[in-house]
Amino acid sequence: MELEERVIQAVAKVAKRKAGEVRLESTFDELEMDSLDKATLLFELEEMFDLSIPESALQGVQTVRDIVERLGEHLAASGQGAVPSGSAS
Amino acid sequence: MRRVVITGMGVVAAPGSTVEDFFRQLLTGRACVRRIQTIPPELLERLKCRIGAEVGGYRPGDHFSEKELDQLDRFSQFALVAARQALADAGVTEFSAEQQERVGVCVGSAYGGMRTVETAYDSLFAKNASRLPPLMIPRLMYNAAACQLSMRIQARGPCLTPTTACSSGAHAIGEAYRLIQHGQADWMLAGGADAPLTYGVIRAWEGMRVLAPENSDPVRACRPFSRDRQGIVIGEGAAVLLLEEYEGARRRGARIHAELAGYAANSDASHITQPNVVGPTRAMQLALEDARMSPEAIDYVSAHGTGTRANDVVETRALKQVFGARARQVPVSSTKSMHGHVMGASGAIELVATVEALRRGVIPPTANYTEPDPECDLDYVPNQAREKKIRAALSNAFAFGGMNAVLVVKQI
Repeated sequence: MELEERVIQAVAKVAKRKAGEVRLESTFDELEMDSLDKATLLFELEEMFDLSIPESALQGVQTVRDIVERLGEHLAASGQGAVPSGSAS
Repeated sequence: MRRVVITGMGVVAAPGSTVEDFFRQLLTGRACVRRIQTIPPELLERLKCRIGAEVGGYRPGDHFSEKELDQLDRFSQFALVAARQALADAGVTEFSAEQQERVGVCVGSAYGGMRTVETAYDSLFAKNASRLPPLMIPRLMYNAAACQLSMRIQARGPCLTPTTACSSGAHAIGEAYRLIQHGQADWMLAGGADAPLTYGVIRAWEGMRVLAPENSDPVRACRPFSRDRQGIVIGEGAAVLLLEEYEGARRRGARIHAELAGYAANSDASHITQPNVVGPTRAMQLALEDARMSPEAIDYVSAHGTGTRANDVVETRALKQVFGARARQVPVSSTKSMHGHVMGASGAIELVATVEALRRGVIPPTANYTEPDPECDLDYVPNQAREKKIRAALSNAFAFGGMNAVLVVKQI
């Protein structure tokens, strides 16, 4: 599964939305996600990718696309080659 | 001192999840204890005690959204459901912005989010999980039920969580009563909530050797004051009552169920688990003094009545000290025989039963009473509900650690 899809899946799970309702352009505000939801999202992503993501990874992040990019950078830095190329655009 | 009345009540417990269903079931004298269904069978098999007074037919999704449930352990859910009932019963749909400052919450719990703790610890210790979900803390904290309730109704007054083991619910109601008496709130949603039917909690209670062992006959397992009593049956649930300042309640034309007329809290200061006679005796006397009532005014006592060898004898002796020559004429019953020992919610659940008894003029019995114990020789209203005009009643709660709480309710 593409990184984008997996992130959307995680966001949808935390925001209690259908995956179809979450787009790359969706913002945390639109999805009504507060700081607690963001912490839960980090937990879900850590579980999903089996890695440790620092809190700073969410700093300045507004949209789902931002998360995908940050996560892509993080995965590349941690040497996880399974990330589809280009997914971090 | 301002007077305090009860204008709304809500309950979630094994005998029923509305006050009407709950009390009607208590009047049948039949216990609502069964083989536990919420513990996975493979774990249940490892328990010596496999029975409990479990809330049947409860579906969280009927009451809360998925998003809400992420933050709500079972004990908080019970508290919120009971509180909604209490507000509806009192005819309160919402509080105005001005009123919100004068509304408080006081919901006790002995175990808090124990189910959340156990699930998380299982993944942490047994399954070697490397991380825990962020919502674990907001779910497990003992004050979760109280603050979740306060947020939902915008109660901006005092918000508290007494955790005094089996007296938590009674202390919560008593302390809420004091806050209204002393003018620090005009309304208090007060009660207790617990969901202790978990593998770890039952295992821990097994270690104390006070659980009734009758797995084969759950309904008859808890037999308070009966000679053949063998111990406690653990239950789960919550009760929340709306306490209201009397004059304000009258002005708004509220239906008043009863006056909360007295309260006392004291400590045995003697033994961590063994009850003594002096503490409970004094607690009942102090509650009567607080209510400015004599023992002669009391027509019914809702006993702590756990069904252990020790409690029932000690409580009987204490009642004799309080009521003297009249002790055998005062009906005393333990509804724990039917809804189980709901730990931190017991005091609140039993107060709901006591107020209903007072309102309807009928006493719920002590179920499963088979034979008199020479050391427990009062009128325990065995097995059959009894019609009786009740002017005023006592409700007892005595906890491990010797922390006693006694409430007095009377007709208004």
